[in-house]
Amino acid sequence: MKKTSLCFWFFIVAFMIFLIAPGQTVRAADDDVITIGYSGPLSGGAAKFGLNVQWGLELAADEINALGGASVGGKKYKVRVVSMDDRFQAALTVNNAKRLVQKEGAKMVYNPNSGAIFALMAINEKEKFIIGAYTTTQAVVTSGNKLLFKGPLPMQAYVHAFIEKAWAHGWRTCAMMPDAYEYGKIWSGIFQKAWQAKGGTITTNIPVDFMKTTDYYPMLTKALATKPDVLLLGSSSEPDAIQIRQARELGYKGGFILIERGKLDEIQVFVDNMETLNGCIGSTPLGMTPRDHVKTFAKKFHKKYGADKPLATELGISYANALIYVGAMVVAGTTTDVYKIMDAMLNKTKDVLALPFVKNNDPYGYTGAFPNGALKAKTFGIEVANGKYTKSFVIDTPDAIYTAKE
Amino acid sequence: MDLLLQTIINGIVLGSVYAMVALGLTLIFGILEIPNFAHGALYMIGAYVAFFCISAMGASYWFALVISIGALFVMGMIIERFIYRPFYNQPHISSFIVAVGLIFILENGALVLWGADFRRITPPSNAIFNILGITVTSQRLLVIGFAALLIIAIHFFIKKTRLGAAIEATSQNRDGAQLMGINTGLVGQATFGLGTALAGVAAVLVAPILLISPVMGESVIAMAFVIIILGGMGSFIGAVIGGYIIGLMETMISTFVTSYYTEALIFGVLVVILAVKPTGLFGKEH
Repeated sequence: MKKTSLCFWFFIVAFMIFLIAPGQTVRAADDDVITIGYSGPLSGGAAKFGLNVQWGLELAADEINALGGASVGGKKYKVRVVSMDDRFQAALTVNNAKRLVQKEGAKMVYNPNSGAIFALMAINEKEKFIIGAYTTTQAVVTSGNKLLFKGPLPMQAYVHAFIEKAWAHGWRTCAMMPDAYEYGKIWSGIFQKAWQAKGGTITTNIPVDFMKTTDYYPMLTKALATKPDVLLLGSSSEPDAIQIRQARELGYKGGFILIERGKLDEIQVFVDNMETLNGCIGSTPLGMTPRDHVKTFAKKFHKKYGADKPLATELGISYANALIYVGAMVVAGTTTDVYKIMDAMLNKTKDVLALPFVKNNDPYGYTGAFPNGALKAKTFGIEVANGKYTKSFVIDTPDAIYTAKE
Repeated sequence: MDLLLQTIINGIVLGSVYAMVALGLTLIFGILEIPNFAHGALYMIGAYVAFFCISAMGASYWFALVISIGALFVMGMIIERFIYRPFYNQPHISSFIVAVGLIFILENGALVLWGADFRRITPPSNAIFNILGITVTSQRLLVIGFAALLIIAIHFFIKKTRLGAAIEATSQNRDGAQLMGINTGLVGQATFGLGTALAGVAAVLVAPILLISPVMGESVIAMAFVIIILGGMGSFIGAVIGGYIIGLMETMISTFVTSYYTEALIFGVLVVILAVKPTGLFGKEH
C-alpha cells in the first residue's frame, strides 16, 4: 500500500514538472528576438491546415533571419515562431495565447479558427497582444478591436464571385452541403441570401461534419434527390474530393461550388481524372495564381518541407502576414508598443509594403489595409471545364466589402 | 433514384462496418470485462497497414488485406498480454486509464509517423451497379458481402470448434474455465487478436470508400460503444443486430430527418431502450 502511494505521488509530481517545465526554460522577453505566437490545430482532422499556416509563419521568420534579422529602432532582431496545438478548440487557444504572451514574450498571436479568434478578442486588448486573424469572417473586424489584423479576404468576395460564375452557366437551383461548423454556417448563410436575392432556389441545406463523417452517401443521396443544378460543398479538400467522386457515382451531372477551404489542386489528387471535376468553381490554388513571387515562394517551401507537398493558399497568406507584421514593427520603430505597431500596419501600410523584405517576397500581393484591420489584396477564382482548368478570373473586391458592417 | 431503397442500402453498408467493429469489440469485452477504448485506434492502424502495403510495397488490395489482418491479430495479442493483462486483478478503472493512454499513443504515433494528410486506397474495382433505381459500387457490395460471410464464419467458429467453445467459456466465467483446464491466458490472447483483426478488416474494407487519417477511428468507435451497449455487452448476436440497426437508423435519420442531430437522436433511442432493458437487447443479467 505504502509503496503504491509513493509511486503514485512520484508520478503526479513528475507529471506536473513536465507540464510546467517548458514555460520555465524560455525567457519571457529576449532582447534581440521578435516572437510570433501561433496557436492552431496541429493534431486531429484539421492538422494539415494548421501545420500549413505554421509553416508559412516559419518561412517568413527564416526569410527575415537570412537577411540578418529585422532592423527596428536601430537594433537587429531575429524572428522566431512559437507554435502550440489547440486542436481547433477555442478554450485551448485562449490558454495557449496567454502562455505565448506571458511566458514566450509574443506580441502577436496568429490563429486560423474564427471561433477561437472571437474568444481571443475578449482578452487581447487587456493582455495587450495583437491577434493575427486568419479567417474570412467579417465579424472579427466589425467590433472595433484595435489590436487585430485580418489576412484573408472577406468571404463575401468569394460568395459573390462564385455565384456570378454559377449564374453564367444557367444554374438556378442549389443544394448546400456546407461544413457543420461556425464557418460553414456563416458562409452558407451569406450564400443563401445572395443566391435567393438573384432569384435562385436553395433546394436543401445539409451541413457536413467532415471530420467525423463515416460515409457521405446518405447526405449526398438526400441532396441529389432534390435535383439541384449545382452543389455547394464546404469541407476541406480531401473530403470535398470524396463527396465529388461519390456524387458522380450516384449519377450527378451538375456543377460544384467549393467554399474556399477546399483547394482544387489538393482535390485533384484524390479523384481519378480531371473530368470528374468538370463544373467545379473554386478559389485558384496559390501555385496557379498569376501573382509575383509565387514561384520563388514555392521553391523555398518545397526545399524546406518536401517537394511532394501541395502549395496551399494558407501558406502564402500566413507567410505574407508575418512579413507585414514584422514590417510594421520596422516602420513603427518598436517591437513592444502594440498600438504603434498596429498604427504603422493600418495607416502607414504603403511604407510597410515598400520594405524590401516584404515587397520582394509577398506571394499574396497585398496592396493596402483598412482602419478596421482588414488587409487588402486581389484574389482569383478558377473553374474546371472539359477536363482542364480554365484561366483564373479576378475576384473583384470593392472596398465596401472590406469595410462592411456585417 | 429511389430514395428509400438507396437509403436502406446505404444503411446496410454502414451497418456492416459497424457490425464488424462492434463484434470485435464485444468479443474482447467478454475477455477484458471492459470495452477496449483503443479499438477505434486499432481500426485506424489496420487501414494504415494496408495503405503502406499497397503504396510502399506495391501489393494488391487483397494481399494488403491479409497482411493487415495478420498484423492486427498479432498486435491484439501483444496488447492483451503486455498492456491489459497486468491489470486484470486491479479495479476496472486501471484498465480504463490504460485504454485511454493507448488511444493517445496510437493516434498521436500515427500522426507523428505518417503525418496529418488524408490518404487514399483505390478500390480493387471501380464497377458501379445501378439496380432497381439505386446505385451501389462494387466496394460497397464487398463490404456487405464480406461482413455477412465473416459474421457467419465467426458464429460457426465459436459454436462448433473447441477454441470457440473455450472462448465462450472464458468469457462466461474465467475462473471456471481455468478449472476446466482451459488455458485462459492463451484463449484471452487469441480472442483479443481475433477481435482486433475484425476491426482491421472493417477498416480495410471501408478505406477505399472514404479516407484514411489518424482520427478515422474516433467516430466509428463512438458508435460501436452505443451498439454493444444497445445489443448487450458481450453478446455476439447483440453486436451484429445492433450494428445493422444503428447503421440503418443513422442513415435513415440523416436522410429523412436531419443530419444535425443524428448522434443525439441515436443516443436518445439508446436511453429509451436501456430504460426498458438495462442490460441491452440481448445482454445477460450480471
